[in-house]
Parts: sequence; structure tokens; C-alpha cells
Amino acid sequence: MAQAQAQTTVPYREAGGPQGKAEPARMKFYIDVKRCIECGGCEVACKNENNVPPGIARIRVVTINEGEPGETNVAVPCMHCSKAPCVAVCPVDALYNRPDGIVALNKETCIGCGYCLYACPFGAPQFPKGSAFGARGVMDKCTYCAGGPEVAFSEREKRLYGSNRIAEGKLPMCASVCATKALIAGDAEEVANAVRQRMAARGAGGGAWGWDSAYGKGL
Amino acid sequence: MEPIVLWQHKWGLTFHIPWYLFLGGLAGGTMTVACLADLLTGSQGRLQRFAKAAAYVTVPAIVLGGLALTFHLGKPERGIAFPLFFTNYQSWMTIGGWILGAFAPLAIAYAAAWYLNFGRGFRVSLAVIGAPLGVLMSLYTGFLLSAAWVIPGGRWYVPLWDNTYLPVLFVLSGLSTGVAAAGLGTLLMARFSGPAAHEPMEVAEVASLTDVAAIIVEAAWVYLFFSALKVGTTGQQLAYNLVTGSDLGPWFWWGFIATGLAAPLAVSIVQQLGKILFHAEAKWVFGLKFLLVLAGGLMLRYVVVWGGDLKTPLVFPPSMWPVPGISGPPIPGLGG
Repeated sequence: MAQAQAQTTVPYREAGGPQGKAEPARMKFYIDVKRCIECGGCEVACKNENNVPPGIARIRVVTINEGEPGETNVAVPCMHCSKAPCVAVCPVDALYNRPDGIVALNKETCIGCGYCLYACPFGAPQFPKGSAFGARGVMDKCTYCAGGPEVAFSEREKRLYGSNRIAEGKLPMCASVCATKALIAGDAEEVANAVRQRMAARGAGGGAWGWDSAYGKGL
Repeated sequence: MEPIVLWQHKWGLTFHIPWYLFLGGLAGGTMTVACLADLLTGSQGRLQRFAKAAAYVTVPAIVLGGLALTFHLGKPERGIAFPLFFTNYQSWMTIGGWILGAFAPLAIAYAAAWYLNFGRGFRVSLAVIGAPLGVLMSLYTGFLLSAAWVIPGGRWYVPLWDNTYLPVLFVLSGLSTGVAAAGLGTLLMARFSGPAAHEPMEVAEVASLTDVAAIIVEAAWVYLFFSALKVGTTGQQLAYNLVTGSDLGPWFWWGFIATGLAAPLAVSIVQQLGKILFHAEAKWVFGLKFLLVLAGGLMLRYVVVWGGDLKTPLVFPPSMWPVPGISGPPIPGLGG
């Protein structure tokens, strides 16, 4: 019942798109390292919107070469992989792919084993650091601001997972507040179009993607 | 630009998982050698005492290991009710739950069959199942860490947990620690059975020689494993440096290689020389050797779990991140 409720709230692509038919959108993040300024707005907005417990970071900004020429910042949320390793290894199917590609979590079945933490290449699954009587609790991760399998907008969903902006027709809070639009979110096709425009504006070639700074002009 | 190297700590923060991997592997080893000794030596063979001791050691090992495994969970009650909750049969944790769920009652029944003298027929029927199940138990602890096969494309994100080497290493370590624990159990049973008890030296010597063979094979496998890491991917090279270098190096070199492999072999050589030259034998030397093997096996599990905190580095820029399931040519960093 709760699953069915969640499925009614997934965003759909318009008919007439490249596939020529209405189908669930495929929600993705894109991180533009040329624009990120390490303001931390995404981290704060995520915590505020979803009442994220202390010690948990559903998104974090990683700084490379700090204080040196070429310092670069990258926001790292859950990448919502299409064939997610965390989903593959979870023994209790607490992690699952929604029809819109969002990797969702069911905290009611999670056993807190930590297997997903080791499977994920991006460090998305987070665990509480400990509580009374040594209980370590269940996993927490970026929900793409899509809540959980509970009834949408219910108090229980809000308490366990945070807000459900996707069901409201909105984008994740981190991307919504990003001042420089370094972190963009949405249907893969729409995001891809935005990225293509940026690439064209910066000029063709590897520089648009950071290749030059990463690997030199020769590539 | 340097890659992004993520560190994540969970299983290495508490004693639960290293001890579970150690005790689970050890229990698999003791069960296997107990069943093999029981099956291959006949009802009057001298290794019957060894089989009995090994069967007795298996029970506390698997019970304590199972408790450690259960109580590392954030929700232990859901782990205990695993037949209800574990629904993903692609996951090695689910497979392992069932292996453990079959192994523990069998090990207890086998030990009870020895203790209550149920008769050899019943015991043999348990041993026929117990021997391969013991190997499976040790093997699964390795696959639990390196379950690359469930990941599409075979990618696994903890470079140290290489599924080519780790499961076999854990089986070999399970056998060597299992033989050592069973040998120690044989000595202790003789010690506390009073003066009329059997003479355990012959049995301890067989166990000791078996352990030497297991340790030599294990050492060769460790060499192959770390040689492959040294010339592997960037992540594997980082893992190699982490384990053999300054961070975990002392634990690896002194805790595992010296204590668990080199010292027992040295003790065996000294022991054999003493026996040949002076016709001298001492039980405590066997006991010392078995204890060294056990300490090394435990330290191997700690090093492997601690080394798992290092994740495969993410190359820069993010447009090159291998997001699973997205192939393509694609929209770099986004996929199709």
C-alpha cells in the first residue's frame, strides 16, 4: 500500500520526448565542478529540509587540493545509480530502485548491517555513530527529497525520511538552493540539455568538463 | 588532479565483525577437520580424540561468533529473524545467514553426538554433511567481504577485498586456525582428564604437521594476493601501501605474518630439531605454536577489516565517475 502510494507520485516525462511516449522520468544529479564555490548551502539546506540527525551528511562538499592552485570543490550526494550496488547487496531489500530511478530506502526493514556502506562507491549510506545501550540504528541516505515508502506527506514519512518534494512536483532542496547552479537535478534529459548548453557556452573541447585541468591540454 | 579517496569506518570500529570473521572461519575449520578425522580414521583410530576435541571447540566458536555478528547490527532483532527479513538472495549476507543457520545447529548436534555417545552411524551421517558445510562456512566469510559477483560489471568498491584471493585466503586461514584450535583442545582435554587420560602427543604432532602444511599454503597465497595488489589498480596499490606500510604495517607484519605464519613455522622447526637431536618433546611447545596460529588468524581478520575502510578512489573530474548502471556515451557524469 505504502509502495503503491509512492509510485503514484513519481514524475513523468511528457509524451513526445525522444522516446515519443510518456514514461517515468529518470531523476539524476549533475555536479559542475567549474561552478561549485564550497558555500555549503546544499549541506545546510539538506539538513534543514529533512531534519537530518547529527553526524549524518546526506550530501557533503569535498575539496580537492585545498589551498593550492587548482583547488576544486565537488558536492557528493547519492548518485542514484541505475544498477545500484547498495541495492544488489542489501540482504533485506531495504534499498530499491523506484520507477523514476531514485534509489529509495525503507527504514522499517533495514537491519543496520553496513553492507551498503562498503558497496557504495560514493560513500552515500550513512550510519548513526551510536546511541543509548549501544544501539547503532539503521542506515540513512539521500532520498532525492522523495521521502520513503510511507504514505506521501504523512507525519511518519516526514519523521523517518524528511520531506517529499518530488511528490510536490519540486526538485531536491540541495539543487534548488545552489546559488551557482553547480548542482543541478531533474529528469536526465532535461539535465543533459542544460549541461550541453553550458558546454557550448564554454566552448567545445575537453575544457568544458574539466579535462584540461585534470589531464592537461594534450588530451 | 589527485583522485578523491574516501574513507568510511563501520565494521572496523568495534570488535564484532573481525571476531565474527575469525570465529566463523575457525568454526568452519574445526568442523571440517573434526568430520574428516571422524570419517577417515575409523571408530578406533587415534584421531578420534582429535575429532572429538575439534567438535567440542566448534560449538563455543560458532555461538560466540554468531552473537558477535548479531549484535553488530543496528537492529539485532531483525537479524535474528533473518528467515523473515532476508529476502534478497543475490546478497552474500542472505546466503551467509542460511549457511550459518544450517551450520550452527549441525555443529551443536555433532558435538552432542560425541558427548552423549549416540553411536557412530548417526555421527557419520552428520559428518558427511558437516565437512563440506565447514568449508562453505569459512569460504562465505571471504565472499561476504568480496561479493563482487552481485555487482553488475563485477565492480567492487573496496580494493583490498579482492574476490579472487580473499575467499580462498579465509578458507586456508580457517583450516589452519581450526587445526590449531582443535590441537589445543586435544591438549587441554588430556590435561584436565586426569592421569589416566590418553597420551595426546601423537595426536598433537599430527595436528602440528597438518598446520605446517596449511600455513605454508596460506603464506604462498598471501604472497600471491599482495603481489597482485601491488601491481593492480590505483585503489589496489593504495590498499597495498595502507596494509604493508606505516598505517596498518605493524599489525600486518608483526601481528599476522610474524606471529601467525613465521613464528609457528620457526617453532615447528625448533621442535623437530629438538626431537631428532635430543629426543625431547614438550606439550607446551605444541600449545605455544597453536596459540600463535590463532593470534595470527585473528590479526588477519582485523587487518582485512581495517583495510576495508579505504574505498576505490574516485577519479577527477566527476564526469568520469563510473556511476553503476550508466553506460553510454553519454552525458559525462550523468549518463543516458
